[in-house]
Amino acid sequence: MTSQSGIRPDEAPRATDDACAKEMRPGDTLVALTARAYSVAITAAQSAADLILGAKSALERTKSWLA
Amino acid sequence: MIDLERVGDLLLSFATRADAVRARLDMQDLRDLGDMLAVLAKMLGDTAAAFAAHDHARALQVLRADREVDRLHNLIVMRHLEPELAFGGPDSVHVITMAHAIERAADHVKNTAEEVCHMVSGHTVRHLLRLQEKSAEQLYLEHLRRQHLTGVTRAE
Repeated sequence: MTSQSGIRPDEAPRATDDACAKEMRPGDTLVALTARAYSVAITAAQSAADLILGAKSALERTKSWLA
Repeated sequence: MIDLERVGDLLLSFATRADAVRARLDMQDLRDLGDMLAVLAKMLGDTAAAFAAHDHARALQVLRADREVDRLHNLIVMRHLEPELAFGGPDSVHVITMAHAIERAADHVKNTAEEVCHMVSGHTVRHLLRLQEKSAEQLYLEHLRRQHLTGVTRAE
């Protein structure tokens, strides 16, 4: 059985846990992770505001954080 | 967390579109979009602080701030769609889409704030808002009742 793109489901690229494991720091609790997530989201919103009001470099920062 | 992920997706879509059309937009639109983003950033900060401090009152402020974002969104949409104003142009679609992205992001933040309210207080947002809407008379009667109870307890 293949998908519309012709790739079999078992051959499709899958996200691994390695990237997430590397990102995790020892002692990260749910509260700390949540705080980091909010911090990134706040920075993204501020960068988007900078972008719309004129700071061209903001887009690269926003894209790199959200990618 | 899922709501925060959606906020990130919406902001990325906003930023990509803004980078393409920013130079052609009207100053009024830029100012309103900037205001919406400022309120969104404040909402995110307040929600994070409410989560960390277990402060449901602060989370309720986020719900009120969402109304401001909705108001600005409606203002932008009406300005571009109202034929009598003759304001819109070929980039109106981009402006409306960007405003809609920020409004959706604010709705996601509002959902997160509602979760914080429920997590901290154990009550739904509707219940908490009803508690805050009591009239001055009700609050005064409750104050007298508490004082009376305190007086009875001390007398015993």
